[in-house]
Amino acid sequence: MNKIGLSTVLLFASVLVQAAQVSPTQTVSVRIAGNCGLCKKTIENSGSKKGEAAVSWDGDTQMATITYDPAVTTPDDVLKRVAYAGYDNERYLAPAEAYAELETCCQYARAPQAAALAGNQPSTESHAHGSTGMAKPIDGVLQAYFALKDALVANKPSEVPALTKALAKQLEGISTPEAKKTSSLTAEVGKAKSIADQRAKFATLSESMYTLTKANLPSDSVYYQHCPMYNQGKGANWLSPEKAIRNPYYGDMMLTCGSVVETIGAGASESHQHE
Amino acid sequence: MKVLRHIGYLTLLLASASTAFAQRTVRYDLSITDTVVNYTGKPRKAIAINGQLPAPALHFTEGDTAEIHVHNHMHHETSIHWHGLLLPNEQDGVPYLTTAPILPMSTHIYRFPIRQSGTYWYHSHTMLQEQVGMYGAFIIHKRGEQTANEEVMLLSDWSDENPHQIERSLHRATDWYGIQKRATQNYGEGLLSGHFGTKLANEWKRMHAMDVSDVYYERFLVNGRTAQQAKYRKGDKVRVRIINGSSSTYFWLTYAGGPITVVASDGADVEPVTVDRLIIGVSETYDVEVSVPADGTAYELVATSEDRMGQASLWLGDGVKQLKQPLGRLDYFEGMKMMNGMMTVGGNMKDMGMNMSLQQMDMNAVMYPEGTQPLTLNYAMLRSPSPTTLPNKPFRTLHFELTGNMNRYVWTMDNKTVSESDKILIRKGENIRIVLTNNSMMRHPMHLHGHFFRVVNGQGDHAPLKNVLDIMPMETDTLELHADEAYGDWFFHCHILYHMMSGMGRIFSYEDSPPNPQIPNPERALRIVYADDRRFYLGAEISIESNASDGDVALENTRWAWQTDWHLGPNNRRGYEVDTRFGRYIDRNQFLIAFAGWEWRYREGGHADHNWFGQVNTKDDRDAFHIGVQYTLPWFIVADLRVNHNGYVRLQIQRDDIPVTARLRLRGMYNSDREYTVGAKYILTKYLALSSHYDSDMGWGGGLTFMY
Repeated sequence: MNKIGLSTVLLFASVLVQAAQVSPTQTVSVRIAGNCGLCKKTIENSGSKKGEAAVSWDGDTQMATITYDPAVTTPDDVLKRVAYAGYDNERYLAPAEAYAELETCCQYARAPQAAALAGNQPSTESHAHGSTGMAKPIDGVLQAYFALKDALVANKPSEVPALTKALAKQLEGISTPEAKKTSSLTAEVGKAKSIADQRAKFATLSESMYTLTKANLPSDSVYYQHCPMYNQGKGANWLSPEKAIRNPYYGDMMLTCGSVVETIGAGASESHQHE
Repeated sequence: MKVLRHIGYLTLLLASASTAFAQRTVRYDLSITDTVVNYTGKPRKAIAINGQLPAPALHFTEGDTAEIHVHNHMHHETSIHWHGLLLPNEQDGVPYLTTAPILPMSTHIYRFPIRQSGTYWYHSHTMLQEQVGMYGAFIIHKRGEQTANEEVMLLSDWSDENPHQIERSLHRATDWYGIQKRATQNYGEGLLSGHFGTKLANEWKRMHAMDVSDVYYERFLVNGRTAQQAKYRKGDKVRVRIINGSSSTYFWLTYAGGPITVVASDGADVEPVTVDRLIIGVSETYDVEVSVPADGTAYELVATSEDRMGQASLWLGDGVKQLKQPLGRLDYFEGMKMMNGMMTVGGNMKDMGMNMSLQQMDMNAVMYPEGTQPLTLNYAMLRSPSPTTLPNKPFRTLHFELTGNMNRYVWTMDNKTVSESDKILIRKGENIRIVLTNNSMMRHPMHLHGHFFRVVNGQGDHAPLKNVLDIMPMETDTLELHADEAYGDWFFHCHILYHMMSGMGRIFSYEDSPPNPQIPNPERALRIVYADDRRFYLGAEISIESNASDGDVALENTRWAWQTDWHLGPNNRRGYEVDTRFGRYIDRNQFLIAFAGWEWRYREGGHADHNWFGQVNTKDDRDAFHIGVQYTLPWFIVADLRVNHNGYVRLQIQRDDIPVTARLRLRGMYNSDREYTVGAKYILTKYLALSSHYDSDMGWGGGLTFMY
């Protein structure tokens, strides 16, 4: 063996010796929630990290053993990763979104404070402020109209035809010519073939709804909102039960684009001039 | 007589009481020292105020008089600007413009009445000191306001790199930060993900890899730490005063405990508006209210950097920690595709007739994996609780176009830096309307000193008051303000530190202002202000390879460039070649540079060649002056056409740094003397690469390339 070969071997040998000198690890036992074998796999894979920590989870006891190198990581880091993967534990509760993405079989019973958070979003908040408790026909019409609007916001064209029928039914409660006109415009939206067409018809329907709502003031405030971009900059309007903008004309692309033009009903005397 | 005396006493008593009430003077002492911090395991130089980083939060009540003694214990000068405050001009703290610089080992006393309330902050306005720790919260309480359940969340960005190196590297269009962020958007990645054509079109339009922010930061901090906790109980409603004190990072704010209610912006109250999330621009402040839904749990209020490379958290509550879902990695190729649609080959942004304004349409949303389902705050949703109409005076309208050159990191307004433009004269008592259009590829947080402006946003008389306006690419926004200060010079600038330092701003100057006692020599002082954006930045790329050493060194500022390059062979037969030139960038996009220079070459035993133009040259001995132009063609091909004093013409085309993988770059060159080069380098660190190239004169070689 020549000199270079020998030194190479020696070098490798010393590297091996170094690698064998594993730094002292520590072990802790912690509670991690979960259901099944699939949970075990996800918990262990998300928590373990080569050279840092290894996680072993027992489904019966809901306890995990974390073996880790204190020089490079902490149990806190490991448990944070496990929570991001969807599993509540002693230190961290999983984000609502991560839990929701788990397979059905894995959706264990959550800690009450985490479970309460699901669906706690402003868009689902009740808007029954200032309600008189007396439902008027226009209130039912608006509810049906808002459901239709929400389907367009959420890019769900398939739900539209059924929602237009529901709106038409509510419109029967008002017997003015404007309501008749609104009803036929509603039918147009129902007949539209594509979501683009539905939106175009919805823009016309919304104008008529506006006139109708002005003539029959609803119990709760309604916001008349404006998107300046729709239809090559010609713009379009819609009605919404909330002040915050959720634009029905573009779906995801420009969801929060728009502005409140006017507040109608429930003591709303303010009218904002759109500039 | 006795009665009279009593009345006299009473009057005196009343007078002193009201004096005490109206003029409570609150004094703070701030000691500024050099310090060393360690955020990543590596000790780094920083600046501390009263021994801490960030600087301490200063609290006042509306009506107080602030008296702040700033003691500079450093060996370099400094300054402090009170961001968002309405104050006499000489207290504003822009060194050489409004206020005397605070010289090494000296004390400067600021004194001003507090005429407003809300969340503000303070920071150095000297060079890049803000990046290394000189920022703190400035909180003004309303009279009688309860201050329980209130937190300050001062956000910042930390880099282990010296900020002057960051600045220089940005001017050299380094892609090292892209490598660190795994965001080089190279051709290999494009090929694998089906976006090769997108990348090709992007470079055709002369755009480098796109990103929402330019610098790689190791840490993002809340009150100087990566996380902080404040204990609260179920049902507590917490007012969080969020301040973006970062140098160049926008932050998304999301909360694990429910929605976020915004109640103030830039210190001014707004009608409460409830959202899922908001983005806070550099130097903006927002007051928000969130509630703690349960006991035994701490809920995460997260600030995520806009490039989503990191986050910092404020935990509200006590016990097990409820995480918020992190924001997913940006899909850069989708962003690139969008930019391709928006950018013309000529380098202009086009908005396709969408009349964008007020953050209502976030084009970056195409890159968000979560889509736009979360309800996001935008400026159109802000409404002042009271009318903000201006006095009935005539308006003067000023139009500004925000312009920039990403590749050379030149940021301007109407294509002019601060030093290249005159001060804008305004008259006390007039109304000013500012119409801003962003024709650059980045968003800019535009900040006006010493004034609030109303953002015209469709809320009519109730337009919100702000002092920072984030304006996204292609947006046009209108601001209105009343010139109600008595006198002085007020800076209006982009608050991204590196954009400001490159000259993106203007100075508004009240007509007939009295001389400022803190600026004894105004002409000289203004030159010092202007010097900030006139600085030259050095850059170099030098290879040492077995066949030759190739190098180029450049010293450039906003308009001027001095460039030198060389090819040095190992012996006289391979030869030596040196070329140096001084030039000026001509056009708006800085694709064109005209230059004059000198070239010299020497080698032995060559033979005469005919060039493309039929001219003969031995290449053995040349010593000539030349003039020429360089133009950056689509796809970043640089064409160089020159003629020397003997009438000899040379045309050369060259493309450097074609990103093939995250770290592999190719280059090529061909010229009318029928010389050519092809080369490759593999980037090891920011400053070092393995490289190899073939040169028609020098042959094959391999070695190292140093990049600076």
